[in-house]
Amino acid sequence: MDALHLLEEVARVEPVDPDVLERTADALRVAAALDARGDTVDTRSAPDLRRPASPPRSFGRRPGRWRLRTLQGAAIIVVVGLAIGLTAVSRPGSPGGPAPAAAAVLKQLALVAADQPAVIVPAPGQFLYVESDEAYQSETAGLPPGGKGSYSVLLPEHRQIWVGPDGSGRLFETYGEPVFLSARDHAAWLAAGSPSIPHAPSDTTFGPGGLYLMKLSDLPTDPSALAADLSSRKIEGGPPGAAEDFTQIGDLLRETDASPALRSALYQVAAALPGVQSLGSVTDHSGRTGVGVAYVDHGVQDELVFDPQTSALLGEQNTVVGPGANYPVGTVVGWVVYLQSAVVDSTTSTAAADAPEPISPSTSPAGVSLSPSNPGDLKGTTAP
Amino acid sequence: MDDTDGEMVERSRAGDPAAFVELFWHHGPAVHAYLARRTGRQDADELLSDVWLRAFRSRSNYDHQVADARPWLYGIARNVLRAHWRRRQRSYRPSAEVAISDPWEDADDRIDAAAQRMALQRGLAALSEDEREVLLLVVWEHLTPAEVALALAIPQGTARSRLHRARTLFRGAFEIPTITSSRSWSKEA
Repeated sequence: MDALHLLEEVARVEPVDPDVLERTADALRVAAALDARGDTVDTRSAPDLRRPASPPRSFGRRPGRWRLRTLQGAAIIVVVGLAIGLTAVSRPGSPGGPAPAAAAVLKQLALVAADQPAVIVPAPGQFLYVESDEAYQSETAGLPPGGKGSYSVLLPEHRQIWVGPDGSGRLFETYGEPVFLSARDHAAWLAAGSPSIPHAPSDTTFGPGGLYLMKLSDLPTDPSALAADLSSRKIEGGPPGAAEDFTQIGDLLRETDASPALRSALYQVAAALPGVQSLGSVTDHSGRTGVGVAYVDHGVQDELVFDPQTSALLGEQNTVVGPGANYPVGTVVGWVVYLQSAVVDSTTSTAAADAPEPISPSTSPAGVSLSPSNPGDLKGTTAP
Repeated sequence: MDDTDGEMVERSRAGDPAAFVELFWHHGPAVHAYLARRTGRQDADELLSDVWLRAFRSRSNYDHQVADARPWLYGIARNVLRAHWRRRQRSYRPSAEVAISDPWEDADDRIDAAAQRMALQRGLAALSEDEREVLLLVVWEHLTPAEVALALAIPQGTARSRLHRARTLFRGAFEIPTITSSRSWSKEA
């Protein structure tokens, strides 16, 4: 059989379950009804909750999760207009290029990164372990089956991930109490019959290939070459544009073992990226101070916070700053703090393995290494 | 009754609450199949609502001159999938892995010879993500190159040349068992 015919042949899938279709249709009916009601939604408890007209949604930026599992009951707290936020100190940059302040901050971080000590490779059988706290927008549609409505909560999570060079590992997630993102979400949840919102712990073990440890050793550490690979989407696929560049720079820093040289190059690439803004000195959700840079896309400001002493990524936050995000300005729709990172010997261990001799990227076959300046070193370096 | 997709979206924008649901009944199964082919049935069940709610919220972006909404919907579905994969691991999992590993568990049953399955995987692994998406939109979703261009927001000429390149590479890698992918992002052996 011809290759393309065979490819077409494997594309046949079983028809979708009618219940799945009904659930989505219900969610759309409710969404349309809420949309048509517009300003008549009760906003007495939330005077700021004005829905922007026809908000376009961002698809390119890093999203929330969509979780539709059924679960036990949860105490649900309504909080409108979350007060938590990073403190922006400096002004946004001009739209045509990076703000001088942002470029300066990132260039300084690049210098700091390049000065960080040599790195350690997670050997076969070992794992890169990263622990973080976070909260992400969790959108539920039309649950329980036959129920109505779609609503978003901010779901706090404690996350521990172990990834080995062969992609085996473990992902252990526990959750805090969900918080409604707006009165509108709360109303939709009530209309849906106040169903429980999933937040049971999840602990999954993966065999080889189940997860993926990004292989960063082949990436250029020359900033122009790296920028070219990044913007041509050679590293990750994706839509064109600086917003996606910024997202992908973040991808190469999140739960990876990027070497000091690569981090330095990434910061230099970010320094030249049009639209990147400096937030000045900021405090993350665990109280640590750092320097923040951000990119605004579709009304949401995606913020990265770095330790100025080590250049390590401390945390992230996504804040609504303009129309287009469905929530009032100032709403925090996601955040992460990276607590600890180490190379460990098993998926039950969180303690750093005895360090072998440091291996430089040029002599390491894998070339993948863990920077000693990872966020774990910063645990407890709290600021007022 | 016989409204085009563009007209249904237009009615929805004008405030007709039933219009978008109508559009959903036309294309919901196709969008589900798109998702299921790429990430398996169970994930597709979970992601379907998200794709459609996003489509509803961004319906002002739809060019109502375009009669068939599928390219637009597949474009949204693709972004939801990327987000889904990215979420599973904080750093986006390169799709060379995803496209081959996840849906192929389901496809296994339908391919007789393991060798053929390997050949298909090899063929897809030889493509960049962009090339693969173009090829799969044509072969799996039966879009025309012009519709692919709409779905991926690329010029039609680019879609055509990418499709040509993807077919050539795919066939080449399918037929030559010793080909080695030059992509640096393939899984470590």
